[in-house]
Amino acid sequence: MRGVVIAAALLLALPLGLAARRTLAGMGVDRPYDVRYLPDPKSLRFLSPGLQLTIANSYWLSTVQYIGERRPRERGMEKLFPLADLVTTLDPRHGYAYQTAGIVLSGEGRLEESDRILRAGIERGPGWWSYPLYLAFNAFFYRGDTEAAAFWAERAARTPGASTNLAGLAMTMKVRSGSPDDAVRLLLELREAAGDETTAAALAEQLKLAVLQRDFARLDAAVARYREERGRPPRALEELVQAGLLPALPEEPYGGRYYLDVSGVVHSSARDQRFKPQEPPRDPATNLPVGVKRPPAPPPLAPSPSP
Amino acid sequence: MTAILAIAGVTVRDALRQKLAVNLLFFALALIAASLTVSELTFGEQYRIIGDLALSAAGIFGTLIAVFLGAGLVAGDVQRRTLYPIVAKPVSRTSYLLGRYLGLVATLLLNLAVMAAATVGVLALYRGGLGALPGRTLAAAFLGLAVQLVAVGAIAILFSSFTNTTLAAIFTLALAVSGHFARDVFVFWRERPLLRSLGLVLPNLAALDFKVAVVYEDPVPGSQLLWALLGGLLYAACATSLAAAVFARRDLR
Repeated sequence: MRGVVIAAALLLALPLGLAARRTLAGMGVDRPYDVRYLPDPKSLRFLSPGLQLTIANSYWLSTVQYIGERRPRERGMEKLFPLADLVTTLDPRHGYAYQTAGIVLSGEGRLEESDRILRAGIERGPGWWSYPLYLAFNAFFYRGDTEAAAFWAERAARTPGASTNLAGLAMTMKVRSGSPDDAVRLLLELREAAGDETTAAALAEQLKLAVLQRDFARLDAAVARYREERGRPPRALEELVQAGLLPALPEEPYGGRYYLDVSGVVHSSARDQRFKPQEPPRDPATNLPVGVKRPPAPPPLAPSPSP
Repeated sequence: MTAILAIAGVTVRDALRQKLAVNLLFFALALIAASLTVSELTFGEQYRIIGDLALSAAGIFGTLIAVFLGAGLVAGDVQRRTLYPIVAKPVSRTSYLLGRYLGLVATLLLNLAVMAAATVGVLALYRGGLGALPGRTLAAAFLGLAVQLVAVGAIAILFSSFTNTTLAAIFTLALAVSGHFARDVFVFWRERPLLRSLGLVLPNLAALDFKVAVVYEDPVPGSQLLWALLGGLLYAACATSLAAAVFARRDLR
């Protein structure tokens, strides 16, 4: 009898396993984590009396799964902003939702959405100083808009509890046109403020890109100087070190190496991406980047006495 | 008074034997314990998930126990005809009703105490000690929850005093849910005093909900807590008085 039972169990195991696998495949278990439907945040806020916090937390857990998906490129990040907006509408004090969504969206190139959620954090959220700092980073690094970056960095520096290094950073952005070194400094400050692993990981990726741009800038400058001094480009980057123009060759952040092509242009073997900042959208009335207010005009000078 | 206490004692013993109430309590405790695991799914703000889930479980399951136990108390006695031998004795209908209500309140507070102990235990486990918890805010949250259950129990007794168990449960649940809209009624009908007064009919359960304060570790001002508790207790007293008045005039033939 026992043998019959075991044989029956073994016979059933195969079709059962197959059925389970097909069912799970039909349910999308093999697909990247996604959220099918998101309700209107304001309606849900009204319809969830006494449970707004719980529902916000439930959607926050979905947001964490959505961000943490290992194959995000197959799915995209279209739902991240609606998810973060839903969480923060139900629970406006959810500080991490603004911060994490803001930095992940900017890393994905969704700058407008990143700016929107960060601005929402400033307007209705707990007002962490990291929000304007992220906005400064978006303006500076992705858009090359040092004016807007200086405005947001100054605002971050003025927020209570802000890092003391921010005032100097804001000043640097004001007086200089902005350099890749500033981007690296800004990212290091942001990483200090992150406070959680997911945001820190997103920042680490952006830091690699910033270090790549900084290294390209340094190597380009050294190559140009070498060309000026010798009248020809170097045959290899090592010649820059031998000529005393660089103390050592920088380590490529993506694990590859830097090399020179025949025309004397520096490349990376792992990620040969030269960053070209976008032109920020400008307000036609003021010709300033959207969201940046023109500083108050200085008081008119008193008429100088006529000689 | 002795009769009231005797009826209350019987009510507590009956309630503790009811499978539905025990099952609901079990699910609440399971959810509170599971909040530790669920919080692992997030980063940075695990405390908020544990605190919110545990307090929500205590609130939802506590309310369900209040609704289903309360709705069946008087109406169930009438339907099963177990009421007649009691009212035939020298016990007034008001004493009977008060005894039933006090027994219900004692059961609800006992359940809540178990859920509160589980919540505090889970939070202390996460934070590494009782000293790391916002003690006053947690106490305010559970006091608020206790008065919420006292008010919902009174509503259940009121409906149970003139209708059957099923309808009493439906009406009580509807009023308990709408109690979280009480503030919205005042805001929505700001310009219309007559409709605005509808807000006074609803139990202001939103005022007794301090989950957000626990999650964000905000202090609850003493005056705010006292007024909210007083409001909830007075509402429960009004509902119980109304229930006694209705039940005293009810034709039990």
